[in-house]
Amino acid sequence: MNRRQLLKGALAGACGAMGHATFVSGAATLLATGRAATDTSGYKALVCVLLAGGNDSFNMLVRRDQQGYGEYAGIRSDLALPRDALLLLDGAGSGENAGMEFGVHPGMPEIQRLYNAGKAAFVANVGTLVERVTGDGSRVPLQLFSHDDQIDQWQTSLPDQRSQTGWGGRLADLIADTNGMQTVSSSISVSGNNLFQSGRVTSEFSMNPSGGIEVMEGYRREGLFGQAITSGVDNLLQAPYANLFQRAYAEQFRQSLDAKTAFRDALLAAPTLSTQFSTNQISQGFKAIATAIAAKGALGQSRQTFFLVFGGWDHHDEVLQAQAGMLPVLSKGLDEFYQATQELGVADDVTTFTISDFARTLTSNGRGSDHAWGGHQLVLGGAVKGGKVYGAFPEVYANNPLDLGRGRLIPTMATDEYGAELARWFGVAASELPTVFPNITRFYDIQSGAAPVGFLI
Amino acid sequence: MISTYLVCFTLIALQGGGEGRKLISRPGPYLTPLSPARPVALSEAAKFAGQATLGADRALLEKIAAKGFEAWIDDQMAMPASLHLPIVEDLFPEAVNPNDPEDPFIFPPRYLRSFAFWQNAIAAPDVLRQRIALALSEILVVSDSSGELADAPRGMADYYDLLVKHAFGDYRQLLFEASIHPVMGYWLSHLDNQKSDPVLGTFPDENYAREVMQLFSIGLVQLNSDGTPRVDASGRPIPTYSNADITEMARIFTGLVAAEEPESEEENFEPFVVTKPMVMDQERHDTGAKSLLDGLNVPAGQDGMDDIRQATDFLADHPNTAPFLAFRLIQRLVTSNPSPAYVQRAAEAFRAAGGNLGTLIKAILLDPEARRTNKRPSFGRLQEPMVRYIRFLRAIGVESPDGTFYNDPEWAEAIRQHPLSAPSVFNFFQPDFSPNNSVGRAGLLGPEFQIINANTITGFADLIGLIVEEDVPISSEIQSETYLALDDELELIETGGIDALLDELALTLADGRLSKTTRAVIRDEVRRLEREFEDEVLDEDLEYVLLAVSLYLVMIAPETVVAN
Repeated sequence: MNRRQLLKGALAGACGAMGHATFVSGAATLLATGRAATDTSGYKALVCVLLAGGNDSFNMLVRRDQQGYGEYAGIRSDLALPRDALLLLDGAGSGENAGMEFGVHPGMPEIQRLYNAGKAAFVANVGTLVERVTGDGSRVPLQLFSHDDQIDQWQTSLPDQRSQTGWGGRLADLIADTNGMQTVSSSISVSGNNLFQSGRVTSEFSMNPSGGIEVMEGYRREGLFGQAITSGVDNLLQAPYANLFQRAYAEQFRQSLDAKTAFRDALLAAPTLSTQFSTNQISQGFKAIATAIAAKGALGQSRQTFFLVFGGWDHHDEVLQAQAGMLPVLSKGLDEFYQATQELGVADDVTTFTISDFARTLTSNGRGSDHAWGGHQLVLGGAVKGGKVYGAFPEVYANNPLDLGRGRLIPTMATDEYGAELARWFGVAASELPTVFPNITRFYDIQSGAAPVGFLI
Repeated sequence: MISTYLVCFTLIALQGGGEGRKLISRPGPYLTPLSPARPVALSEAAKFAGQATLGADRALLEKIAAKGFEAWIDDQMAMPASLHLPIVEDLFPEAVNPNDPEDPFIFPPRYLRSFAFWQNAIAAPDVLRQRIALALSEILVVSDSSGELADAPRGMADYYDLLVKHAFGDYRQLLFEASIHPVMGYWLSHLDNQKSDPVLGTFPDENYAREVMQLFSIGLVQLNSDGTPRVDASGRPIPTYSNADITEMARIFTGLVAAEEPESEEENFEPFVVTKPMVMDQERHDTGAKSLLDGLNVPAGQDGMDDIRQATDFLADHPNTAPFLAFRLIQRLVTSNPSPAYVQRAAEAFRAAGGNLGTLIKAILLDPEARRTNKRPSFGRLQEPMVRYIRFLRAIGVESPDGTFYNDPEWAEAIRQHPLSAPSVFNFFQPDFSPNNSVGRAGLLGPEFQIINANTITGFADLIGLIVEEDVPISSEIQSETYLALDDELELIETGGIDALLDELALTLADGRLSKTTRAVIRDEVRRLEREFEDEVLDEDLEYVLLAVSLYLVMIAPETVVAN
């Protein structure tokens, strides 16, 4: 079979396969009926870390066994990491990965430790899928290999349409009325607006990424200027506006002030953290998330999602050098965050997971690698059944059945399965999964009673 | 002079042939007559300036009103371009300590590029050109937000100058020159991109091949000339290119390397040669024939630079490019949701003029949909934070002891938007973004809402508050202090009271849009302050406090922030 041809044909066929309207009305129906069975007892949080740009994850998780490393070194040529440099992950692969041994990138000793301690796991060859790719007729995602589309589809898990809602947002919609005070959205972002947390009725609350808690200079402050701008702003924002853009801006401004005020008050009432975080932006982002978790009680939120972007992974050149600088930042940041959740006593209640546009071509362009498709992700937390690689780790030799050319691998696990595993743990009943993942039944029998993937308790 | 007729004559003159007549013989539903009277009302001039400039004070509004829109555009297009690189070159010695080659920069080198931007954003007389260059920088995106480009201020300035120089030129030439600019080459990694190496098993880098099509010219799906997607028999959009086209295009963009450093040139401490176009190393170029995109056939053995020229010309001439550019520029300048007829008129003008950007800009700004008083609730755009801020400084005016306006490069921290510093090649926001608010619920696009959140919305207010309440310098500590020039406004409030001030601010900051309600809210606060001053100690700062409160409230008012 000519895979390139398959892709070309399938791309054309997949365009606009499903209308937006269909989904919206479907979701609305489910929204009305699905609530009762969602478990929001106790406390749970999901932390989504977007490695924006397309992490070359085939250099994050590498097979160390003779055959696997040989295939890897052969196809990656000048991009291959030396075998001796890989940090050993304990235990041999099981199930579909039987006989395999794995190593993690040399810059990730913290992840090696957390994996070996059973707190972290990898999920292999996950990607955006419209349906399982079985042959020429298979439908594939819109605009494969394109950054913005693939980043969006990882967040929506709807690769056959241009959706305005992400699965985190749909999750929040589902529990909106049983999840405490909503002046501050329980979908909290340290990286601003994002599609993952955009729901139909809920949207993200953007924290100050550096952790600051000021509401707005002068607002509700003593003094002449403070008084004047407080009532001036309040009155301007409550005036009616016929123009939709003016109205939308006024609405968002009002909500922002109310949310920031409530959030500040909650943070001031929350316990302070003693865990030390590195000074880089990523660690500081994790720290900001930890402070918001500490404030869960004051916010009255029994479920929270968090969103953090770590950008700059589009390594068309200097992939080795760049990853050697960036993966340690990720590894250290995740470790610091895990420690903070231990300090707060919620290590078992917080699950952190990565997403990324795509993995990159296994073949080199002479300096780096280009956009590909399926790739590996990392999950971390006390609830993770760690120390294992989940999903079938793919063969990487050139022109293997999954290779579309240049080492672009067809994913063998859908983002829907990966997300459904996280959503089930979060409290979504199997029967409600289609509300959050409308395509889930193409990949997973929601009545099976089995876990979608199995990496969470 | 400003009339439908004038717009039509322009189109006929520019298009020359029957196509132009065909266009105006089918006026769109929005082609309603404009006011034929001259001079243009100041409020109309203000609305126009809100689209065509980076801010206007009263003097500029009066000039536009007296000239008429088209004549003013013609004047502007004839003005020499104010460039950024000469400013950076001038400042360079101040930034560099040549005795410390390990750590040569005294302050972050990207400040230099920022200073040059400020100087021209605030003081350059060619305001239309500067406005268009900024809009183009959000289409042909490069960024120094991460990586080595932050250390290449001359390169970044030179790239910006490319946009300034070609703002009214032919898109063919701009696309070609942007494609071979070393900053673009570094940014999208086709600098040092080489042909496949069967021994090493390497392939050409596909980065630029993809983005030059997806983001700089033809986009993802085939378009009708009015910018709506073409659909197949089943109603599905038709892709513009396949992955095979990208692989083929990547072969074309092989062999580009940095120009040689002239030996006489001083050490510039930048990561590579940043101000001379990349050159072709034919050895590293894939010289085989390439065939892609239903009609781009590159013969074998051609010089690599000719390959690239052929490809960028093909893309610039592609039927998608006219509506693609028209839609994006209309969004930046006028409205987030232009009618298809508006896009079509602008695209036709561009195409008929052989792909000329000046013609496109003129068509966009003179179009009835941009010019008429528009009451549709779906019309308008949320103005970008950086544009709002520049407009504020231009409208109020700033003063510095030596006429330099090298503003604080960290100003953008609060609003997370700085020219040429987008987080990725996808700009700060995307043209098809539809927000989760009243705009999105009405099925409309609102690209700028993609960077509006609890943090940035208050951050912008804080930025204005800091300047107007504290009267802090807006300049960098490194350069001469620049302050808002508030004397005229203070005099106005003294002589005419709050109503005179609000009249003026409504015109210069809000394009004439402040409603009675908004004015009443601000007036109430000012009156209350006056009373409190009377009760307490009356001192000379009263006018200043009243002005500060008025400026702050006008700047965050929904009618100022949203242009419609």
